Amino acid sequence: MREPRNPFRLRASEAIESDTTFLKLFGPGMLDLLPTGQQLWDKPQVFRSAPGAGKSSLLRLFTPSVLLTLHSFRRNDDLKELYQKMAEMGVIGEEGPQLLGVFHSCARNYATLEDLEFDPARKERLLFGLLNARVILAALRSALALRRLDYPSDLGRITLGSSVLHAFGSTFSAGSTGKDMHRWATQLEGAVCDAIDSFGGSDLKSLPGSETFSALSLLQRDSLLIDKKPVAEHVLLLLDDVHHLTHRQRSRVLKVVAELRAGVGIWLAERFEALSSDEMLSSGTAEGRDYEGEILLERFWREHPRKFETVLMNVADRRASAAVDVEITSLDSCLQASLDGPEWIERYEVAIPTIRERVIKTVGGRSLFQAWIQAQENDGGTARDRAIGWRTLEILIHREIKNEQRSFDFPLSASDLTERSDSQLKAAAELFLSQEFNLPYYFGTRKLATLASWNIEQFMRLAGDEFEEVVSSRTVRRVATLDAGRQDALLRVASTSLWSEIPRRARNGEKVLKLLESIGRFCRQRTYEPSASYDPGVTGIAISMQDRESLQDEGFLQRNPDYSVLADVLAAAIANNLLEPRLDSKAKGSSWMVLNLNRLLCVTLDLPLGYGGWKEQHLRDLHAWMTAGYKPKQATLL
Amino acid sequence: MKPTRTDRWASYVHVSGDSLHIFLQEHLGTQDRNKKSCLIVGKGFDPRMLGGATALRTVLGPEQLSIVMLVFDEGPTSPSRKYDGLVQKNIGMLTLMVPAAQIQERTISMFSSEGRRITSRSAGSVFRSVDELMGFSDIFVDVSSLPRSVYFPVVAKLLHLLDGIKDCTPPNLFVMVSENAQLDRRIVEEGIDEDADYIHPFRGAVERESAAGRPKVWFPLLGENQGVQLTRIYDLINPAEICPLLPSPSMDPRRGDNLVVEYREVLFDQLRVETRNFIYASETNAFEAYRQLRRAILHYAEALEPLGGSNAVISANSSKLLSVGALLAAYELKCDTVDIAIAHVEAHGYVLRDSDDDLDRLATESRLQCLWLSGSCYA
Repeated sequence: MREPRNPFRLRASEAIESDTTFLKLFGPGMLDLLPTGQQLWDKPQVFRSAPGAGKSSLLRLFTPSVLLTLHSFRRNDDLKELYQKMAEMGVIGEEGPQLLGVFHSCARNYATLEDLEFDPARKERLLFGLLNARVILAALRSALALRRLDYPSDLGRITLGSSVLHAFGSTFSAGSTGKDMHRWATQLEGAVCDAIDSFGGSDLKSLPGSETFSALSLLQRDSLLIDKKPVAEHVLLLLDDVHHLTHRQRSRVLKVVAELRAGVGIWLAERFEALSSDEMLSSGTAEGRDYEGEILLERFWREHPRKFETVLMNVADRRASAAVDVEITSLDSCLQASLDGPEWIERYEVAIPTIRERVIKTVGGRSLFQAWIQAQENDGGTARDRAIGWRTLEILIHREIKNEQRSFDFPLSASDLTERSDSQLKAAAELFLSQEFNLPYYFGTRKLATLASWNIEQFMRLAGDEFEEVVSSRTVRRVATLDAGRQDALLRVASTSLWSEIPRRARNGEKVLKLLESIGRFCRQRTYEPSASYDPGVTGIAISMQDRESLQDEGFLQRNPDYSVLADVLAAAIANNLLEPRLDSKAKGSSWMVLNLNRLLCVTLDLPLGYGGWKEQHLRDLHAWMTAGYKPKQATLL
Repeated sequence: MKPTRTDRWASYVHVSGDSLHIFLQEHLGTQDRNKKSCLIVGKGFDPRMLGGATALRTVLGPEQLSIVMLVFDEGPTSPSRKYDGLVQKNIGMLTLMVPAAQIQERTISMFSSEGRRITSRSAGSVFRSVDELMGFSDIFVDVSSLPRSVYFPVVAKLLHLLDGIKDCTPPNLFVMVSENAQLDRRIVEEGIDEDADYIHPFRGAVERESAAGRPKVWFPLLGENQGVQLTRIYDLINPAEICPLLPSPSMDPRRGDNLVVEYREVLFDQLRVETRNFIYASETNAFEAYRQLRRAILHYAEALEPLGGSNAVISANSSKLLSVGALLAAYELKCDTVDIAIAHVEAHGYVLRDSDDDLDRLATESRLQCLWLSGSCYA
């Protein structure tokens, strides 16, 4: 394949065929997701997220070829940090990898087994039979790879430990080798797959199966021996794409895993879509409800935003450095990060008199605001500061005028102005300015990271768009920095694209789109109130925890089929990371499930990117928004 | 010594337009009036579902034609449901051509009880026995209003059943397609599934752990507006090599170029396709697509033999005509025990861009194509 011109465009980790490239592009900060200590290898861990959050990349890191490459390049500057972290976890050491990672994707034909005309018990036997065969094959290949032996010719050097012999009963004997296991597993897999893929008429009744997930017996240190020695200190089964199993299969596998005794390492990665609408609506941050061993990637990053930003910047710099046509070591250095440069001063200078004039007109003859106006007139900051100052003042004046309870018309002092001009209000003023005077708002790496909405793939897509311009610019020997205006324009295009993809991408796409458009219009309406009551803006809605429980209640949904559709639509939006859920947010003496718009959706709506502003809604209103659309009770104010 | 593989459709019968009418007249119009033909169509809102029936009725009496109408329920929330009126209109037209008693409905389940896609497996079971076919001299499958996940397994199963007849003359099998690029552009997929999957019974060995070491080679047939589908199919396959098939030559001489421009980012930046890997096949000749694909797949299988062989995967996000070529290549290779899979991503339904006022007019501008796949001409 060709060398990458724009490494941000490379598809997910599976597509990066070279282990060296994969490692160089991997952000070590991703390892912060993992719990520390022995429980990594002792207890099952479940990783859940929307697509593109980095689950598969994380799992791939622990596979033999990647670990061997990491060991070989451990002194390389690009990989030192990663090596160090992996060494601290006990995965790797000077003598080599200490972990046998057995990767297996469930995105295979397991679900098809459910379509065969068998009773459930027979289907379960087939499921476990196929799982056993495949995990055995993956384990044999991984074991040889870890010891740099040849597959399949060196299979005869593998012998089986007592745990495996016990689990598989009479299938294998003490003298069995890897060759015997390989033959057995290949035949079983072939028989089942041939039957599944036939035109019909195959003898399905004689298909082999297994009573349980016996291959888990391979997850012991001494279960597979090469030349009579354990392959590695730890064995870890990495089951990816568990959401591809049917509900019945998935719950059976999870049950078996949950019943495992301590000391068995198994990681399961799945998308939110594996969850039912009921379970989906349970996702988010619920204090104290998550059971041990469940890692929700988006939630983790939401709770550790700085870590997420660090991971993104690290990954971005690694990708930028990997470009072949240009020499760039950091994405940050390519993106203009402020509007204080001379090219923007003129734009602010144009804005100031317009706002000033409006302020004077709004105040009219009132003496109440004279000190505030005077203080702003005397402000000697940059053009940008002064413009924001005037816009802040305008918002404050609207607030005062709106406040009808003032009984005395005492002049407000300059210190009042300073006191009330907090950072939130200034952020709202800056947003209003950008919107009114067509100034860039979405630019800089900070905002780029926020626009990822806790999803690495979304970040790559946005950063890739910006990097593309940087590369093109350098190719024609122009300035290599992407100005704020261009960044803003590119992100707006990406936002529009995300909106337009919704009907095609999401289940119930039309309804999801309608609901999100309604939420967006509502947020915009509230954000751009002249008094900026919800500064710096509203970017989400909330339903009460009680309403959420109703949406999870089968009886309630049967009695109210309209709300059943609403529950499905909300679940689809959450599963696709179009809405970011947060449970148990406290406000007005109640608990709420907050649903924030994906940050990239906010761009087209000129909304801020903070998570603070949300407004509670009733289910009946949301249902109306989903079906008829949001109808503002008052005209849009800006 | 490897067995010599025969190119089953090296010589073929493919007629369209005015020639099709003459062909049908000669083939069906002159035969014994007691012989019956079967037409398999999809129940849908696309007016092209009537194209095959209309053509056949010009040469056959109503009593000579039986219709099997495949009904696929996309669910109550499918965007296609808003066109139920158009569906009823099409059925009304069909019953004017053939008595209702001769129209048999067969339902294809699109989803399992838990909401999982089962379309292709269900479609593969629509015909279970050759006995269902023996009463007909000719079987026509009009795929114009059928999704790939339905007509791929149906046509493959029919070929399989007919190929199994050894002791008597099997019925002839034809595939009909009403090609209309303008209508194709108007009818767009909506609610594309989150994940691609392989179409039954073309899963090949690509999912087998025992074949995991073999390089996967992906042959995507490119068509317009399929960017999302392509990336989802790519995510499913994760191929080592990609050989896109472009429709060239084509009526619009720039069509191939335009497709490359449309998918520039996906093909070259994301997937890093080598430009020398492109395959070309005429957009109006399914059999050429079949030949090109077959040759390329066998070439890769042979070249990669020292590595244990290859896993070939086709995806047909192109016109229906070309996708039939892909199906033929896959069917023949599967019969030859070559590992071959067909990847596909389904949609929740279809919507019409713009109004439906001029659908009937547009449909009359379609060009009906007929491909003779098995029967007396190949005997």
